[in-house]
Amino acid sequence: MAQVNDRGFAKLKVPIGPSHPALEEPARFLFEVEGEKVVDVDYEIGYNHRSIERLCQERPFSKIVYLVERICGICSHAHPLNHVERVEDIADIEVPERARYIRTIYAELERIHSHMLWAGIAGEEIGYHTLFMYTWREREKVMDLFEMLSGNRVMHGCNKIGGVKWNISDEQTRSALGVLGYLDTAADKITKAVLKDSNIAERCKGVGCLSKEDAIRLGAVGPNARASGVPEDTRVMCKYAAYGDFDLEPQIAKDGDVVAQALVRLAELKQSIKLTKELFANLPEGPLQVEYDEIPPGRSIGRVEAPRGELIHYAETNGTRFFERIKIRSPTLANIPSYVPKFIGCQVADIPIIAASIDPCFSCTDRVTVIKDGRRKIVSAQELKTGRI
Amino acid sequence: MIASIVVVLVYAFVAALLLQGIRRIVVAHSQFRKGPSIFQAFYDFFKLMGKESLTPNVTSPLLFNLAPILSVASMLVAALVIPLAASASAVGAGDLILVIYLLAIPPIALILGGSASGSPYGAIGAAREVALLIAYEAPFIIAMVTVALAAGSFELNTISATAWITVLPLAAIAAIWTLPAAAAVQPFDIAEAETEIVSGPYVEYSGPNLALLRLGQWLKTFLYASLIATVFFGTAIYHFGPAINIIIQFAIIAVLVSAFIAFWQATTGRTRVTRVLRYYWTIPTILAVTDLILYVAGVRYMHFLFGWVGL
Repeated sequence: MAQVNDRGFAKLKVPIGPSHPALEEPARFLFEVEGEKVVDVDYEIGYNHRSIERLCQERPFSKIVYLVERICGICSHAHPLNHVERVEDIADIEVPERARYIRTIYAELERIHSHMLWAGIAGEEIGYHTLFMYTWREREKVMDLFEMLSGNRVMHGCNKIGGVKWNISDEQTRSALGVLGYLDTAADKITKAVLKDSNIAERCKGVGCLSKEDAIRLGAVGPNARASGVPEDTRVMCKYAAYGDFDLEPQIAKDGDVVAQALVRLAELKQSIKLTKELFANLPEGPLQVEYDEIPPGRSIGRVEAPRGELIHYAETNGTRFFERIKIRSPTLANIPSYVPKFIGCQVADIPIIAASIDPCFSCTDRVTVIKDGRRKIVSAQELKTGRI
Repeated sequence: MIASIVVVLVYAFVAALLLQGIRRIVVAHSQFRKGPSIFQAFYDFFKLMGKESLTPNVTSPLLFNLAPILSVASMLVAALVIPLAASASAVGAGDLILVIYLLAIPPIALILGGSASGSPYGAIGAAREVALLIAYEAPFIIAMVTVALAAGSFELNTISATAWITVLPLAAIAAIWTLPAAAAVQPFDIAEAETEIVSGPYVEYSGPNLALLRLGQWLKTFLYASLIATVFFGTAIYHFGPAINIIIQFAIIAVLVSAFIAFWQATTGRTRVTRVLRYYWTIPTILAVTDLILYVAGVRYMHFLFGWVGL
C-alpha cells in the first residue's frame, strides 16, 4: 500500500513489465513514484533466455550462422556478419572484395530500416500514432528491397563463412538506387516531421538526459553514447567489412536527451542512405565466396556496429567441427545501465519514451538466467565474485 | 411521452457509437490506413456485454461496480435534457446548469472507479483525470455562462433559439476548443495513456462494466458535441421533418468531431499532464473571458464588424 513520506507525497511502487504495452519485449522495471515523479528505479532482465550460446557449442560450424542470425529479428545481419568474421579471422580466410561490399550493403540497409523503426516506435510511445504509421510505411520500402536482394524480408541468409550467398545483379542495383533515392526524400520528411513538431519537442526536449561522463562510466554504446557526445562508432574504429574504403564521421549530439537520440539516428539514417548509394555504385567485380578447408584451433574477438550499437562476438575453436565457446554481447546489455540516470527524476509520462529511446532489444540480450527453488533469482556482484549463486 | 423518451435514448446510443466509428475512420485515413468498420463500437460494446465482469479482491466493490452505472445513467439523463435535433428540453428552467453538472459525471465516475480499483495505474489515471477535468471545464463553463448571460436565461429552449456563434464567436471557439479534452483522445488521452499507465482507470475493468464505462465516455463525447451544436448553432435550422432534423444535427456533430477531435488526434502525440492546465487556462480561457467582459461592457463587436450582412 502507499506510504506517505516526510514531504507529504504518497510513494507508489509502479511495476512496468515484464509484459507492458510500452515494451515490445519482456523486461521488468520497478519504479518508485512520488506523485508523477520517478525517484528510484530497479530493472530486471532475463525473461527470454534462449540458450543461444550453449546451442552454438552443440551444432557444427555450418549451422551456427543460421543460429546467430536468429538471435535478433532486426539485427539479423549484424550477428552473422560478426560471427563469420570471427571464424574467417581464426581460419585466416581472405574474403573477396565483392563479398565484403555486399555484406556492407546489407548492414547499412539494416541500419536504415532499424532507425526508421525506432522513429516510429518513439512516436508510438508518446501517443503519436501517425508518425508510427508514416515511418513504418516508408520502412516497408527497405523491407521490399531486402526481399528483392535476398528473397527474405528479415532473415536474409546472406552470410556464409568465406563470403556471401546472394549476388547483386545490375538490374537489382538499378532498382535499389531508385528506392534509395525515394528513401532519401522520405528521410528528409521524417527528420522535418520529428524535429519541427512542437508537440514532440515538448515531450522529448530535456527528457532522459545522459551526461557524457555517465555515458562513458556506464559503458553506453552506439547511438545512445553518441547522443551524449561520445564519438564512438565501431564502423569508423574497426573498419571491418568494406568500411575501410569509405570516409565515415561518427554522428554525435551533445545533450543526451531523447531529442539528441533522434538527431543522431536521423543523421545516421541520411548517412547510411548516402553510403549505401556509394556501395551500390562502386560494387567491385569478382567472386562471391572462397573455399576453405578446415577451421584450425584458435580464438577471435571482434566488434561490429549493429544499428543499436557495438556488438561483440567471441569465438573459440578447438580443431573439431564444433565451437569450444561462443560469447555474444549484444548492444542493449551495454546500454541498459544508462537507464538509471535517465529515469531518475523523470515524470511517469516520460517512462515509455525513455525506455524506447535507447532502442532496446531485451530478448537479444539475455544470456543468463538463474532459477533457484523454482523462482528467478537476482545475483549480486558479490555473489558472482565468490561463486555462491 | 414514454415513446419519445425511448426514441431519444436510442438515438443518443446509436449516434454516440456511430460517432466513434466515424472518428476512427477519419483518423485511419489520415494515417494511410483503411480503419475499422463504422460499426466497430457496436461490435465492441455488444461483445463486452456478453463477457464476464471481474471485481478484483483489493477493490471496494460497491464503488468499483457503481462507477460504470453512474456514468451511463448520468449521460442518459443528459440526453433527455439537451434538445436533440428539434425535440425540446425535458426539464425547463436552469437546465444548462444541470447539463454542465451531468457532463462532469462520467469523468468523476472514472476517477471513482480508478481510485477504487486498487491498481497503481488506476490511481495515477484518476489523478490525471482530475487535472484534465479541472483544466477543460474552466473555459467551457465560462463560455456557457457568457451565452446564458447574453440569452438572459439558463433554459436551453430559450438559449437555442439563437445561433450564438454569430454573437459570441470567441466563446464558441473556446467551447469547441475543449472538445478533444472532453473526448479524451490524443493529445488529451492522458488518463488512459496505454503506453504509459496501461489505460489507467479502465485497467481493472472487464466485461459489461468496461462496456458501460466506455459507453459513458462515448455518450459524453456525443452529448458534449451536441450541446455545443445546440447552443452555438441554434435550433432554428431544424424546421424540417424529424428524420431530416436528426440527420442534419448528426451531420453537424460529425463534422465537429471529425474536424476538432479526429484531426487533432491524428496530428499530435499525447501531451503531458502538467501541460494540460497551462494549455486550457491560457488561450481558451482568455477567449471566453474576453467575450464575457465585452458582453457585460456592452460591446457588440460582431454587430460592428458584420452589421451590414444583418447580424
